[in-house]
Amino acid sequence: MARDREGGTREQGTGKRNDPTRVVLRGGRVVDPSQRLDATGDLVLSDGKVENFWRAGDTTYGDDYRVVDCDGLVVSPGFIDVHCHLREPGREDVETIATGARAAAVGGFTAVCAMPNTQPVTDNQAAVGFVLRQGQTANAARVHPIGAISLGQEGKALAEFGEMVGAGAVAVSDDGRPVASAHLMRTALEYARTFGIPVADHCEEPTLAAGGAMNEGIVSARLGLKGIPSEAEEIMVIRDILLARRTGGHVHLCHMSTKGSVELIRWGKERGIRVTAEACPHHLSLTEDVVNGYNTNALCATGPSISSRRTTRRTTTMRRSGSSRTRLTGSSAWRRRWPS
Amino acid sequence: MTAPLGKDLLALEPLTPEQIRLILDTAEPFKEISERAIKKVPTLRGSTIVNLFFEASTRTRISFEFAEKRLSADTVNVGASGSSVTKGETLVDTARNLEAMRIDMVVIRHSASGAAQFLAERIESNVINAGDGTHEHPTQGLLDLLTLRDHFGTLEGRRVCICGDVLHSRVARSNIWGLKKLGAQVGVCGPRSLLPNAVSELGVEVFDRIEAAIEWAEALNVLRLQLERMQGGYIPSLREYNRVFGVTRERLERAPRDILILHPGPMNRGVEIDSDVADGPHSVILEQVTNGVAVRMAVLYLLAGGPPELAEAAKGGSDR
Repeated sequence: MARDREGGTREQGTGKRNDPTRVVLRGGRVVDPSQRLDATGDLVLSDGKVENFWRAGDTTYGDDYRVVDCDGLVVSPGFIDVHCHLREPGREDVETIATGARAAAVGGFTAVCAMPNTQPVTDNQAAVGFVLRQGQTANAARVHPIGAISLGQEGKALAEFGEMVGAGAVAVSDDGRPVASAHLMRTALEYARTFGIPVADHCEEPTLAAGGAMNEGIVSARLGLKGIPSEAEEIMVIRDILLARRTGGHVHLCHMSTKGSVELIRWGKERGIRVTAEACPHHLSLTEDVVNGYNTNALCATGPSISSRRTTRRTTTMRRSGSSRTRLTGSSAWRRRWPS
Repeated sequence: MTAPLGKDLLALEPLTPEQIRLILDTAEPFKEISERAIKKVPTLRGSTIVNLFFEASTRTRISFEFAEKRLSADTVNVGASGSSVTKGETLVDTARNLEAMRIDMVVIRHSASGAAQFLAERIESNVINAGDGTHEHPTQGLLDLLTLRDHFGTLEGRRVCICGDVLHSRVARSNIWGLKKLGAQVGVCGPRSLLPNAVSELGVEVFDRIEAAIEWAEALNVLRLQLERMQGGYIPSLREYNRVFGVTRERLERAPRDILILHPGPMNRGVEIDSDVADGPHSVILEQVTNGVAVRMAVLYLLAGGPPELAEAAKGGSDR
């Protein structure tokens, strides 16, 4: 984020003084993968849009430019987090839409999508409208609500996608819980086509994952913690991809963490199936070894799994090869809780 | 002086072979105390020890209590029911409140893996793990080692097979680490649904058939098959378990050598072990229980900072 060297905080643009129409972000490291750009230079903005980019040099700017010194800073497009838990309504003691949207803005995110596993569940147009309005009031990162797939996220009856999209929902998901019923997933993918929205799934086969605390492997065996096999994720991944092929719907796979999932997603993409996926920073940078010594912070940081070394390396490959189209932080506030 | 074991005894996995041998060697002179008419020495007089048992236990709780009392410590037993845990107090708050009453040690049994370590990192008192979830049960592992050493002299190169529900067994984990550190070869045998998926990475031989395990082993440590494993869908029936994996006299008679039989108790006679075997000539199950008191006395003594070389002398100061 750019900030004035002299003033400390950036002017808000409300002052009458001169009001230069153009802004120059000078001398920052400008990174934009979509333009294959990673270079130091000056970014010229006009009316809030990028007008020009000058590689590092001694360009001088007249009085109608407001120059912001970005030396030593990274200048990038605003990030979009497609998978956030803002916890409001229901758990305002942990996070509110306002605190989440402000935290996102501070971290360089200009838009976030709020998952619907709130209390009560965001499964109708009124609830979606509430999230949208709270996001607007927060006046930080834009907040895009995601509606539930099923009423109450109970995995039984479809929620009203049409009305939720009308109220501002950008996708549907039962995230926090997997869509256990293949029939419900199929119906959701079909029905969502009318509204052009993706169906995002928390991929975790519930009978394989039941009671699990971490990735199944040598670390779970040593610690005596119940493991979740990677197949719990992969079985749902291939099920969802096959259902997307059958229905022509767009499936979005949440927080992928295993090598097998990446291979299955690649398989689906090669066949033109509408599948997108996301990965979390901690799945790329941490391994199951962080759970050693009963590090309970590591345990609660991820529902599905922090995987083995090999798996993590593979998910990193996914990031580089572009198998995954979106990225996220998986940002979710958790209340620290000691076992009783 | 600093105790040679550190502050706590949480697991056997992090211990060195020397530390394990030290505990076993320290247990030797303590064995004799329990054979006296007046089974008491003043070694831990004035120490206060709390036994926090959040899970049902007969053998381990009473064994610890005898060990503490025979060393003259003052002890209090706290169970989950009838304590403020039922009112929603957290484990740490319970322990901190006890600590505020100036205690010296906590012995904890808990259903969650890692509970003992969690507590140890948050209180000043010495913590002894008396079984945490499906993680470890270090004093059980130590008493098994002591019993095997009594019979074999040394564990170096000996072949010991752990039979049954290794997946959910804290006894199995403590045994695997302890035996390997003392140089024994370790086997495990049971239905694959009751073995960890990554079992071979633990550095043990895996036997799918109990007959093969019996042919290989010099000692079997037969684990208790918990009835809830059948309800959990890990095995179809106790009857079939006995037919396929039960340690029976018929199977042992076909072994190429006499096999020492251990069991951590409580036994399900007719399921994992037949009565003929449990009560047979090669069963050391009750010796394990006897050794349990001595091993726990040794652990209490060492954690309290007692110098190992004085263990022999310590018992001399009896009230006799």
